[in-house]
Amino acid sequence: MLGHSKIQSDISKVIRIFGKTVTSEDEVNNILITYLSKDLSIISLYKVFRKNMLRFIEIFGGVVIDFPGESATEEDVKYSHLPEISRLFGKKAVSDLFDEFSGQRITPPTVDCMVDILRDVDIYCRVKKCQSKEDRKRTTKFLSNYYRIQVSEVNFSYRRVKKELEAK
Amino acid sequence: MATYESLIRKTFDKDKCSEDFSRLRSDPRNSEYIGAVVESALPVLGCLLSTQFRRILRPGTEEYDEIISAVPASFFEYLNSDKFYEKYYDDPNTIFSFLYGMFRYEILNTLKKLRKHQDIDSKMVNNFSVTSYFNLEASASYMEYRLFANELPEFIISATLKKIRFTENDRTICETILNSLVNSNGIPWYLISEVYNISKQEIRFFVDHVVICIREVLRENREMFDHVPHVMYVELGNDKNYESFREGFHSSNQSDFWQGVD
Repeated sequence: MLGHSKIQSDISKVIRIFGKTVTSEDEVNNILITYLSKDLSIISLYKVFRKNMLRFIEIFGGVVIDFPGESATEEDVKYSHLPEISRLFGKKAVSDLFDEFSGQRITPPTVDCMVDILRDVDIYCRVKKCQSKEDRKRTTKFLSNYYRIQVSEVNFSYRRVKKELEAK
Repeated sequence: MATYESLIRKTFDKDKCSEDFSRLRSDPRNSEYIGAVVESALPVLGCLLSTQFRRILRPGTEEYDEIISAVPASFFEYLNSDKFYEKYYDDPNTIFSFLYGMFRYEILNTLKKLRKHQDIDSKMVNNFSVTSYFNLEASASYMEYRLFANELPEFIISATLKKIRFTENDRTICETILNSLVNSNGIPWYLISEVYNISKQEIRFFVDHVVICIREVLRENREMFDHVPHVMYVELGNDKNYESFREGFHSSNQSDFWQGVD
């Protein structure tokens, strides 16, 4: 897939966090949820975290999270990521997560994967606003500079998101 | 080499740098002043190496050594040339952009020469092909911050240690994992499982825990990364000399070498 090449570095030695998007975070968030709505677990995560979903994925992306079931011991809770979730997102988030995923093991999408998706959605949001051909050309060039991808890849990302959203 | 290594790790001081440049212009080719300029400008090279080129130029590799000797040498040459005294401008606000652009050009130039004169073993660059080696970051979007654990500043590591919530043996395991991440030795799975008698799955949990703690601290210190200039801002420098310098190194735009770099 264009612009979705393999990671070129050793994962165990690299820590990633998201960068800034060109369009506002709220706008990207709204489109992102529609774009990912075929994935039910993302919808469940969104139900719990709402605006904080990206923050959750940023910190817990790619991490295996166990939600102890009914027969869980204290030890099980200690050796789970629940204390961190509680500290970062509050007790309510933990209880909401239990409602959604009790007794299950989930792995939120990795930061790498989300970065690509976020970029595509951001490109879509920005290009969508263009009113003239020149404006679009200029925006595409700007985005290709910003994300350091080729112009054709910017167009490809835009079309991919547009197609997905139109199908819904 | 060691001196360059320590110089590029220093913090860039804009005011001192512009002062050094103006002193040099008032007394051309004064070796003492040239030394001062090189010293105050080299942190920009460090900034470049640890941001844009961190994945392909790691400390200890042959390319890295070549870069940190060749780039300061060509900068030295540039300071000794007439070109500098004719064209250089004194503007403290664009001095970083100027140095950033110039060192970037020199790094790419040195890499290009290396590519011509020696066969680069693809294994040296994490098994990606020579083509992608020179494609630099084209395939990765720029909107993420990639931080190699061994480049994490000291205060991030100490803050991470404070975030680890375990005690006794569990804490030692987490500290061992953090240290092995920072030292880039890889995580000693077998050793940890033998010494502490825990399963791989449990080690996986501790690794995740450490990574979560690091990401948490990084998020708290986000402003620090937002200060790292984006290449786009550098290219927006409006000084005429900088423009002409830029045109110079964009002239070979059609060649494969530049593809994906800009």
